[in-house]
Amino acid sequence: MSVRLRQILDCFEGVIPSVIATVDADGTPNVSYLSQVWFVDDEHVALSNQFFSKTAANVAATGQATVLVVDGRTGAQYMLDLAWVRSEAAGDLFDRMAAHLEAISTVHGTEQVMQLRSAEVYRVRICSPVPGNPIQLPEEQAHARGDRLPAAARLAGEIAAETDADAMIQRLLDGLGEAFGYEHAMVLVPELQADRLITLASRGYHAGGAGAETPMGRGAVGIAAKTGRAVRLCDMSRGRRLARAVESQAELDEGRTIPLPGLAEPQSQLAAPMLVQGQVSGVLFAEASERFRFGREDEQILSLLGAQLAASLRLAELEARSARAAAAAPAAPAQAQRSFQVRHYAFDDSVFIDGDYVIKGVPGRLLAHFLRQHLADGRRTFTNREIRLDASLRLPELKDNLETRLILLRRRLDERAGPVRLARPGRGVIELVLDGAPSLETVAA
Amino acid sequence: MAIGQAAEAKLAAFLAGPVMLVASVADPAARAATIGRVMGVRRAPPASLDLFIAGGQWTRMVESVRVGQALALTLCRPATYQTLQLKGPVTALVRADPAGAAVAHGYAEVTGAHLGALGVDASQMRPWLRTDDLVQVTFTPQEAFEQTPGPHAGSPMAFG
Repeated sequence: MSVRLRQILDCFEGVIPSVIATVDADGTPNVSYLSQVWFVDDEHVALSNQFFSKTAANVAATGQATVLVVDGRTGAQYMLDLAWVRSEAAGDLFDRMAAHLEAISTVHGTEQVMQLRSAEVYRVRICSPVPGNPIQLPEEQAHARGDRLPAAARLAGEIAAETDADAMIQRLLDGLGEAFGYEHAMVLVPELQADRLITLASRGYHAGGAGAETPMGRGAVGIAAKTGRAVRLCDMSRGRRLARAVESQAELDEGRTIPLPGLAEPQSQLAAPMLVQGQVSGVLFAEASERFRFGREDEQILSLLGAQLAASLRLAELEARSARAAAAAPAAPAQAQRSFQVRHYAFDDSVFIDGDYVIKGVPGRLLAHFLRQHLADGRRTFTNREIRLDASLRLPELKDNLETRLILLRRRLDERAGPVRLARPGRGVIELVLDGAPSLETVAA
Repeated sequence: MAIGQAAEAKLAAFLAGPVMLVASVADPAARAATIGRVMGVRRAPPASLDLFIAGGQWTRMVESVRVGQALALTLCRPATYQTLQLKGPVTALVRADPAGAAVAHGYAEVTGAHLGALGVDASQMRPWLRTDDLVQVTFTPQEAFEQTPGPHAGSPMAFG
């Protein structure tokens, strides 16, 4: 009896190690464990060529391999009789496998990234169940329901209908919960010059975490950003403790960082790049404490929504550039008695209010700029356009993402609930909302 | 020829703790390899090992195996992925007696408890730990290979 590969996709998630056996020309067998077998299509699988030198030599001699794969959910075992077809050292399959391996090794804390040399593609001659498999239970997973494409299209349409950048992000996060049951999700944007990603908004965490950082190239989010490919992890029990150790030693200055929101013990993670014109403009991330929470379809859904959000944000950015300020808002009546102290460190643009860290990088520079202007001439209203043109702000990295930095700053200030907030009275307009009288001290580099 | 002191010491360490075991022999008719999970190892002095395999489950392997044929056995520690591969000829093949079956049952129990501690569900590991219809395959390791994933995987261990 041969089983269709599509019926046993949970064998190809890399949760339970597979076994590969080959024979040499003399009939001497070789057997070793294999971290993952990749599903290619109903007739093909791919194996990663990393270190398996004896296996590779045997396959070169005989053209054959036998592989035992295990369903990570049920434990069911299947034997695959494989015939080697070709080796791919580039292309979509290779890139997908390389991104996944890199994510695995950073999440599992493996110091040495296992370099993928090639994707070895095999035709599956027979896929047979090993006797003793459990009786398959009917699919109960929410993500196996068939009504999710319409839901994804609906949510993409709702994002496309929004004109305000912050509302797009909020609609996406709400929609992920309502339509797909993603309880924990984040939107992050790259801070290219600092080689890190910053949290813009989140749902389902105790702390909102706007402004929290995570390194580029590490973990599901970092790899999705670096490679522009979705990363999905189904069972993180193996590497969780190691991952924690890696995170804790990351070179972050404790006094100048916001803790990244996240589940204490995630089992499933999914990160999809927000691609626009071939560039990664952000990452959508979801996680869960159950194993196998996200399937292939979730990966596709999140990628599709990521592309929609990226395109909509880009359009909002372009529109905000041309918007002009409405008649200057009348200066708010001075109702504030209390005063507060703001300190801006030029070397990393970090801003502290009354000694507490607020934000750094571009949003920090923007906040310092607004306050400086306000103290100089009493202004409270600014436009995207003038910010972009202001040479003193030195904002080359803002070419395409001033809006997201303003959203980040605004959300961070709201989450802090401190004496400074930002309001958006109109498209492309920012209003400084103060509860008290600020003093600003800039500490030179 | 034995596998040498270094490999022997390593083998002893592997057999002292929880270990996952897979074996392979060629299916001569197909020039292909077969795979079977091994439910426990027993020393067969002076230099052989008895392996216990559920014959009803790993049918192709049990039907292929012959005395004199080469066998490969890979031992892997589930917690660390440290791996050792042994190769050598099959020297005897019998149905497991009650003492052998006791080795297999003890192995399944210890391994199950260890996998459980690593977070594997009992229902999930059941297909991997079957002990029905046990066959005893004796083989004499003659070569040992370091197989822990990494750049040194596949390198032969020093003979001594």
